Amino acid sequence: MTYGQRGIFMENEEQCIDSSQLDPNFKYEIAASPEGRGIFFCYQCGTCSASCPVQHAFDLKPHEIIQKSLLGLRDEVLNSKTIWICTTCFNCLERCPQGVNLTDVLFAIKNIASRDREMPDAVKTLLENIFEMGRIAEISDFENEDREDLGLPAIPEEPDVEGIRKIFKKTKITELIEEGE
Amino acid sequence: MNEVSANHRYALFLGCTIPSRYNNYDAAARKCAEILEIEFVDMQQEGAGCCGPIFLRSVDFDTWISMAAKNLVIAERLNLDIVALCNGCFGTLKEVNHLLKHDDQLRERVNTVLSESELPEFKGTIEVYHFIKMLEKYGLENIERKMSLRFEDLKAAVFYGCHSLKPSAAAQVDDIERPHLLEDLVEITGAKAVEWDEQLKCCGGPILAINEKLAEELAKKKLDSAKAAGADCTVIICPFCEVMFDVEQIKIESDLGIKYDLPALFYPQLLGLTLGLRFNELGFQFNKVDATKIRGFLKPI
Amino acid sequence: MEEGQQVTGAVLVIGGGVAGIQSALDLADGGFKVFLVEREPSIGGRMAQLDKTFPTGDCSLCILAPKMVETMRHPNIELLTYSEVKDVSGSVGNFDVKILKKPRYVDGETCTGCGQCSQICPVYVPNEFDCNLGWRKAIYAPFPQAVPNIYTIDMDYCIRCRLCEGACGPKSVDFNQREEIREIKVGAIVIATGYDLYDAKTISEYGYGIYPNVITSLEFERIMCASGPTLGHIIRPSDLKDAKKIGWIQCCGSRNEKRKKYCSVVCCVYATKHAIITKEHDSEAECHICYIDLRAYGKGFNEYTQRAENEYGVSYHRGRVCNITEDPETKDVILHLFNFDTQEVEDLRVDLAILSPALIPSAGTEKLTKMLEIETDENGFLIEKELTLINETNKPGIFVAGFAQGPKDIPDTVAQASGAAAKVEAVLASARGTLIEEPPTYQLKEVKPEEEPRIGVMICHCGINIAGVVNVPEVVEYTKTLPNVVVAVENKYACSSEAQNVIKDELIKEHNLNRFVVAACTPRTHEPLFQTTCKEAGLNPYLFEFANIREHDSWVHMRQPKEATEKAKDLVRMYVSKARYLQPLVKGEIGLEQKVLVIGGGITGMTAALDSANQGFETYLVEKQSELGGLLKDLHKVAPSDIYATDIIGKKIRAVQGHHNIKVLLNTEIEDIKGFVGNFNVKLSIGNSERKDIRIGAIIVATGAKVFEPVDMDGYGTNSNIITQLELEQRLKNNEISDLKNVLMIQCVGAREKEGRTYCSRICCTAAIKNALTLRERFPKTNIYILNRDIIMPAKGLEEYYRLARSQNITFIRFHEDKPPVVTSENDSVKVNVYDTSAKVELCMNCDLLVLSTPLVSQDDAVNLQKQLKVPLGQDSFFLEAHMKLRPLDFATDGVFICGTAHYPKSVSEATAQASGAASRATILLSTGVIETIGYVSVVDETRCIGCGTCVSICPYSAIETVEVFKKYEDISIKEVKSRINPALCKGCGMCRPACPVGAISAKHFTEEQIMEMIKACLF
Repeated sequence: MTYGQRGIFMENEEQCIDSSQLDPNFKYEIAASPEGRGIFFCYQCGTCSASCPVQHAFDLKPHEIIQKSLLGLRDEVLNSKTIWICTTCFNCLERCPQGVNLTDVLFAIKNIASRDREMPDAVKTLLENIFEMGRIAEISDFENEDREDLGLPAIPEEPDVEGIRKIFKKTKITELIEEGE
Repeated sequence: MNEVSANHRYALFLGCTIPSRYNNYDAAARKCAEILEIEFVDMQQEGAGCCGPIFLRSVDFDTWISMAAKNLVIAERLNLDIVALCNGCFGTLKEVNHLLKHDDQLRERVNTVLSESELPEFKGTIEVYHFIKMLEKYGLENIERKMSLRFEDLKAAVFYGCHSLKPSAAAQVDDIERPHLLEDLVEITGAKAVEWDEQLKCCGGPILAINEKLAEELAKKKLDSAKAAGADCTVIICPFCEVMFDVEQIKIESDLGIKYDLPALFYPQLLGLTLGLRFNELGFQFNKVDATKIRGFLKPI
Repeated sequence: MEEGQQVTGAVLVIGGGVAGIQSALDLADGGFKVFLVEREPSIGGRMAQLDKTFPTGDCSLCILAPKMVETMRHPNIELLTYSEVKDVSGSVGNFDVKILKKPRYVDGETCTGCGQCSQICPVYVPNEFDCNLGWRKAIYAPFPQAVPNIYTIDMDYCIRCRLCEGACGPKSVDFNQREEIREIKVGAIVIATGYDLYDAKTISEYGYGIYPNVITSLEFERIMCASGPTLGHIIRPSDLKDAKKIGWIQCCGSRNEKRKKYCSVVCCVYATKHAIITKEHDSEAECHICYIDLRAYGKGFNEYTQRAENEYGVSYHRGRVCNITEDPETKDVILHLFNFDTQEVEDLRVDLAILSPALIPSAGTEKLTKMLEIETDENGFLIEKELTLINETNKPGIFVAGFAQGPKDIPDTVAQASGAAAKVEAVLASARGTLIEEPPTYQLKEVKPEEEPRIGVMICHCGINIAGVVNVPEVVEYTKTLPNVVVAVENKYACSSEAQNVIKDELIKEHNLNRFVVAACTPRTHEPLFQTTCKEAGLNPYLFEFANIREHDSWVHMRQPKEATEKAKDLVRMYVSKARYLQPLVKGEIGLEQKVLVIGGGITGMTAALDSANQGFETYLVEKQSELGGLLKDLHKVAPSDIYATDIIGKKIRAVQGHHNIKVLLNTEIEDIKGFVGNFNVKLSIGNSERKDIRIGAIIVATGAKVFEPVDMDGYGTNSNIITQLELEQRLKNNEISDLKNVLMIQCVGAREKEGRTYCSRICCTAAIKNALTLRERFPKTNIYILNRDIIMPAKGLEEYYRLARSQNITFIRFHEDKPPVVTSENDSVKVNVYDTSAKVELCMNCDLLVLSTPLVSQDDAVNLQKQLKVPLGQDSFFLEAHMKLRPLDFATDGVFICGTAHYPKSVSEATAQASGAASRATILLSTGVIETIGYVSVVDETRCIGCGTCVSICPYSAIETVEVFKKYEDISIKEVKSRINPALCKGCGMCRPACPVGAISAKHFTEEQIMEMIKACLF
């Protein structure tokens, strides 16, 4: 397979990344989370990308994310759309022959991105709901009426939301979301 | 088999999506359980709320695992194994239970968060089951014995979703490449499980809020494939998958001007009909795609 | 074992594959009694199941079968097939072994292998030899060339109809047979139990066992094989149509943390072989190989893959197949992978998918090693005692050879098997020759050339193999009419012992015959049998001829009995006419010097010297440098262990210098070598001043290799921060490296080129990782990058080593062959531009140290040495062995052997294994004390020879040389040049005969007269 023949190798021929732009600490940052420890084991076989249901919509394919992370292209990885449209189907993790646990590595990367960048608005809203109501969506009389019709017990309005708030404060995730009233 | 649930008594975990969108899944599951003489203790009444959803894991690992542990601890207090109806809840609770049982360091870390939040600590004394795994444990022959009706000529495309099966090291439900549990459960009702290409591919649910177009693309692939395989209906075991197969079907139909006529049933709805439960008892009125035609396939045994 | 304790001069070899066969033959030739135990009905192992072998494309069974037959016929080997080792007690030197002989229900002494029983048996059973793709009967021989050719009844399927009993001519079927325990005493044991395939059914994502058109590589070998279940037609299981588009899936279960962590080593190359053979069957076929790293590591392998791609049009797809799906209508299968060359996910639809499953130790190995208390690793492979002692296990006296020790290809297996033999012989040296039978001597009657030929002929029925097609009685009657034929008879089974008695007494003796002809099957298996019969009857064995009327007649003309009968008559007539002109010939014996010369004092040479000296042979170890140790003494550690090179070298040097049978000569070079096998005269020059002449019986070449210095490539030579791996290693050893920010290593510099040095140097990836790990250990913060095309890890333990490197944060960057890294060097600064095909970025790396991984190349004096030894150099000036697969340590020239990196780049383990093997090969030669020459050598008629020397250059065995002869004519002496053939080296191939422009050479036993008479008899 000659490079010249197909020519589908690089998108931007001019773009050349200098080693000073690499952050070799990035991979250790990822591996600091128990989820990210597998990142080192990758031997670039491409199984993950072939198994992914949404790889066609990714700007960076799964195996590319790993290699770019290992090289230290921190900004590119954290800025990518890919990480937030992973459906967490776990196909890559199941089929990976080296136990990279790619889905988990992406979780670790998203954890970093949440602090370093912005998490998607939709995600932020859901987290705020959990902080306020202990659930991702409100369960009100409206839903409980349907439950009554079906002979089901009503759902309490606020399930131990205090406990949840304490956890949120303890892990400091509150710094990432606007604290609700 | 855990001693705790030897006499078919479980802590039922509902999560958020079922009460807010699909209470029919809850109703159908409980009604089937009644007939099978399985007792459910509602964890919602004991303070359980959100499981610790997957997008929380994306934002902060410690928060996710601590929230999930908090729910596991409730079941430990009740001294009951958990049965989850939603794949998302099952995935989280099962995986966290597995992780905390096997990783001492992690368990210590989480228990620190819990205790400093004035919450009881995780001990690792209970198991977590998906609804269908609980039925497997109950015994398919035992379920059959309670049936009074049977389906005839009904073709069903069964859908596992992702988090009921994966990550398999934690889930331990079935072979992820060639599962058969849900097919077996469907076949005892007399319906036939068809083979369809997209069966094991993600429904797109988790990214619906983030990239609707992409999620719908995945949903459409499922519907097209199930329809092409000649299915009369789909059988679902997760409310989020149900959103994609049910609500999204209507949306796709209206956006593209096509018709699927492919009702999406929760498994206990399908099972419930053979156990003699009534259509409205099983909450079929809440299925967005009309499932009335299913009744036509039902015959007494 | 105590000093001076009596040891038993017999050896047990467990496993009858190519490893077991090679060990057995070496040991038997070396004067030891060998018991070869094999649990299947036939020896041959996996190699017998293969279609062709890489990279030569030889038919596997064709090159193996002669060794199988030799094993069967060897007077010192007792074949115990369909048997298992039940119990072992005792210790090195004296083991008591109980062997369970499973009942075949067929008497091995009388069975002729005619196959009539099998033809009549009504029960069809899946044939394990054909991977259950074809059928055999309940009474069966596993394959046509089975050794021994004795049928076996599989009682699991036999319905006791007893039809076979009735059909058997010699009445060999015996339902009363029972299990037997055979108790033997041996001095040592060699384990050669080989491999099985990992159960691909467990890899549910590939659908093996569910989709009919997904098969394993071994199943494909049987499909490709002309004697296999599809007669060599490449068809697919679902509809038996030709497979026009085929995909290979590499690493099925190998290199997988959840299944087998190791690399099975041979799969990349055998998949290439499959693809090439498929293209040879059908040039229109599409072949797609899907791989992760292409491990074409051995001699000729990289060129093999280049040929596959460029000449045959095989497509290589870099990308691991993640799963396989099926089109339910057509049963086509679709391979899903990410293709790194096109950078797209690919859904590759093929007719047939072939999995390369992991290769695991064979099923009986676990039980056997538990019984013998041999340590095995987590994968079931036997653990070798040391890096340089890979034949030895934790138990003295028990050795291992072949796949049982770890994945390897056939040449490495054969070399290791010979190595095991050398180790055994060292332990049992004192008992050599004690348990073997002396070959019998025969009284042969004198036959004068002027005597009237009195020819006897026996024409064989071979059951119905011949008689079913050829009208044998008619041929017999015809034969009687031929001139000089005194008697002609027929016989149902000419090879039976009863027939031998007929030949001896009723024919040769009674009719006072002086020539004998048998018309039957193939001389390959039975000629030596009849020659022995002739000897026993007092007839010179070279007065015997063998006409093949089975393979050459009845088997190939099965539907034309009339014509076949006529052809049989023609063949008999031809051989009878040759027989008239046969002359008695005698084998000769030449004495030899029982001393060994090892050229090269590195780890390889020292190992060879020790293994030869330990057997009691005086050994000269000659080294041109002023100290022993070779390349290894410059190394720091030896991968994949943490052992220091100096420890290994130090130990060996002490052993060599302290050994009473080894004479070490440093600063010594070879000035001249004259003579031939067993009788070499070697002139040595020691330190430029001294000269020494020695007489040697065998020579082992262990001259090693040197590291290629890429002068003017990639800035090397002008920039002090650009160095080779060897230089890095030396700096690490001497602690000359300070903390660095960025270290880059580039693999394949000056190797695996498209033209020029096209080979893979096998060890550079390992060396790079080794040095990277040392760097990482010392400098935790340094960024280490290894830029590579493929990572080649071709031995046990290396895949795990690669994973260790990744876990230690060594970053691997894969570039494409067509877009290699570009080095910019200015004074002492280095910048490397590389395109990472995974991250899809071009990186421009500032580099504090750039390490170039270059290949090993042949020594400068290889050309000189080659001429002195009269042995060939092959590609890239590495020495060329006699046969790449089955004779990796021999040269075509007798008496000279090769081992180590002088043969081809390899690791320390492989080099020392080869060294032990070469020692075995050399000492076998010397152990008997004489060289036996064959009877049918070629001879030069000096009166006709014009001294042109054409024959000298033609002879593949360097058996001919020109000599000066002085002819006296009255009082004038004229010097003439004549060719002279050395009968010690001549193999009787006859190539010199047609080369000679004046017809001065005649080949004995194939004289011009004899051949002409055959031709005349054929035509007229």
